[in-house]
Amino acid sequence: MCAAEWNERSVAHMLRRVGFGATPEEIKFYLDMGQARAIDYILNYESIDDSEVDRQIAAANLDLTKTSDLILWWVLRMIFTKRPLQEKMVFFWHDHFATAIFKVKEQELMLQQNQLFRKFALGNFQDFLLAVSQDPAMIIWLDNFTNKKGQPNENYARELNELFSMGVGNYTEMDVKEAARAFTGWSINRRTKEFQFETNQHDFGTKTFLGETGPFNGDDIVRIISGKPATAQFISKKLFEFFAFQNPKQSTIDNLANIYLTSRFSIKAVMQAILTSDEFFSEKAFNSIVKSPTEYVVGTLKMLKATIDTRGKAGDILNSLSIQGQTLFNPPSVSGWDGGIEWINTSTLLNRFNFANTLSSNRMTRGATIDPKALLANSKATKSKDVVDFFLKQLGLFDVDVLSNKTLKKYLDQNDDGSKGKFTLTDANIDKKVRGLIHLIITLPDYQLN
Amino acid sequence: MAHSRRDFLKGTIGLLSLSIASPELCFQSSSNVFAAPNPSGKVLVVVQLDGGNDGLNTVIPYTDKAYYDARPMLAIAESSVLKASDNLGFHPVMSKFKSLFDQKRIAVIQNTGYPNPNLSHFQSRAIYHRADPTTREEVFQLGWLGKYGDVKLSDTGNPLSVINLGDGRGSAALPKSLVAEKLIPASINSFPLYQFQTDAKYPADRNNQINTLAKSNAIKSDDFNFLYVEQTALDALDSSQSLQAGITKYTPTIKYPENSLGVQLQMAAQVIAGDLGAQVIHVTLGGFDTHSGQKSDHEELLTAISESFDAFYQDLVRLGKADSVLVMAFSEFGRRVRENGSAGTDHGTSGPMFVMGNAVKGGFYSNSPNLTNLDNTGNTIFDIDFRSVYSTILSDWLLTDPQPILGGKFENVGFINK
Repeated sequence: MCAAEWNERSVAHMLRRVGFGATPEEIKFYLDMGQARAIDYILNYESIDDSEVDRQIAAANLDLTKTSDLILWWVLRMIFTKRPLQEKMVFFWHDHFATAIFKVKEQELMLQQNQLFRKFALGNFQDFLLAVSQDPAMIIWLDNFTNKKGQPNENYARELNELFSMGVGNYTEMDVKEAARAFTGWSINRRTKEFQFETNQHDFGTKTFLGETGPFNGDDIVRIISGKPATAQFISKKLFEFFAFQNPKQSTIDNLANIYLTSRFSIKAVMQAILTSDEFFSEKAFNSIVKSPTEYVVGTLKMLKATIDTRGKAGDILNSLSIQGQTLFNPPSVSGWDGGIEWINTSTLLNRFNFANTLSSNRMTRGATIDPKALLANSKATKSKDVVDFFLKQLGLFDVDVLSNKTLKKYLDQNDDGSKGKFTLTDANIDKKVRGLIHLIITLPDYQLN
Repeated sequence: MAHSRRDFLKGTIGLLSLSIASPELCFQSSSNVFAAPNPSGKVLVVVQLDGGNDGLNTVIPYTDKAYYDARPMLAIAESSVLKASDNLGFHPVMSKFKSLFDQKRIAVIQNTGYPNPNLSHFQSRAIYHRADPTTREEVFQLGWLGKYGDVKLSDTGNPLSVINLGDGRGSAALPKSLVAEKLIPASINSFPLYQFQTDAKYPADRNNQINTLAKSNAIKSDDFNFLYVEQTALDALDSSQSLQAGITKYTPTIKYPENSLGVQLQMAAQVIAGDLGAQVIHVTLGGFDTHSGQKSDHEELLTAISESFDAFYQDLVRLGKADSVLVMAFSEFGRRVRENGSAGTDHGTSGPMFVMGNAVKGGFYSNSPNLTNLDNTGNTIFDIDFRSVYSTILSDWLLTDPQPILGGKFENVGFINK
């Protein structure tokens, strides 16, 4: 499979995947670095100064005991981070270990889990699974605090096998029952809300799990699962499909699974292999994934350099994310969001379009606002064709069909009655037609894809 | 003005490549998408009880000692069961449901399931949605109602012929049962939000915006996702315009309960009253995954079912539509016979399905589960395949040959008056 050239288009693709889109300035920053250094920079993000995020969050004066502020906290991180892959991995793990506040009910524990995802974003998968198994939000979410000797609750054990590691078909119902016994007594302290192993609730008896027998505890189950080829396959495929494209060749997944096993379960090693592969930069990968609502909203705000009114707590943004189908910290179930083409239905698509209209037509100080005139100040564009090209590029679109391009140009030139006029770059036209153009670009089918 | 250009997809068939199992889109061309008549005049409302409804505490085998032995905390005492036969009765909060049952408006099909039951929500849900016990959840495939739509409704060109409703909270994710290859179902989460907005400051520019949107969503492509997005955008424009025009015919007078199911069933009544050509309407009530502290949660859910079904039925009678609507409720599985240590129940297998309407022959169908003969997970062994219920509805209500849709022949359960 051939990789595309290293240019603006491929860098924009890369930054949509490893992050939430990028401004033309950011694209230039990575482009100038060269491909190998840029990928190295993206993967080894710990040394990148990310204090801008902290400044933005401090300025927002958030109350993290409120769910809406917690979501905004994360959205601000996604927009302002200089470590795109870190937030993208957290976003990936939030869907993978999908836990929802509608049941956990404690914002503090959801925040703690989100920080755990950040800590282990590219970490060791075995350590990560163990930490997740002891994560208080997870213990509440999948009822493990009620999983007791003689009265096992299978909820966590089942999803650990089915959704978090190996996938269906790689274990039996008996394995689920035995794993549940091993996790008995893995609970939380009612007062401190911290993980607590309750010795008297734990079943110390012998268990047989995936063919191994012993007086297993939860960490034994995690150890056995982490080393299984099924886990290597499952995690590798899920990462590849999230970052590159759907339905890769089996040999691609075998290669990644092998890296997972030989690196002793390093997520970073698998990610490095994905990002340095020709497949990641192939035409097959470009625009092949449907944007999630979060990618759609965060990317738009970022690329249009929107001002986010945090005094108003950005209720418009948070509500729109929710009606587009993705309330962060509140996935519909433990399997996360179905995603892919299932993000798209007539209702969610209208809600995307209406988010675009709310943003592009907002001339108040409340809510998210954009300044089309300021954006255009960086450009020499004055003619309708050039203005269209400028904003397509601003929004990271390099592949728009020539017919769409002409349709957008026609819109700029059009009089109210639909007849042909001539666009001139006046303040009045910026307020009317350029705002309208931005709305229409964000509604393009091309823009729904990553 | 209609914007759907289903014919523009012609010539791309076979090039689509989401996955090997992807449906190939081949939309029909249409000259007029507005409110095409519902060909049979009949409506099927499907209610998904999401999470796995505890059938044993919904339809209670109140004479079965094994039931009481297995559920020391959760069993419903015989004295409070709403008795509906010599050995079965409803949960005490379901008095309105019981009253509809007594009027022969509800059929209960006991112990429905399928071979080799899957205890995963996601797999089992996909199995029910696609009427295919061998399906894999993660593959994008046609649903059983989508297949019905392809056969019977796609020719109408009406973007409201198949509708998924939501309750206004969250979003209305499309259930896998509605995935079709010749039509895109309308998914409607809130009536007021279901319209394409443009800059309120320049209303005279609105038509230009709408026309630009329609044109830029009519670009040829060989990419499945791209085409799917385009067709959805065009259908969203058209269906929102006809919906907004049609729903004004409804005046609410019946009081619906203020829960998710009540909201959705009232929306369904409003769509039906508008004569918008809807023939399949899907609604969802979530929360049935009662692993712990089941008693109060399940009571609330059963109350929602009982009161919402009653309000919906009364509303249909008022609207003169009671003869033309059939309601079917299903859940992806029942729950474990023996309660767990958390005053809840774990994932189970077979469970009851419910069908409501004037066309229904009321009563209980098929045998209740044998609670002393369980499978190796401690779950009930099904008596009748859920696809028999689908088959009965397809043949006797929607007047369609069930075999191509279900991929096999299933017995007619006989709960519909022909």
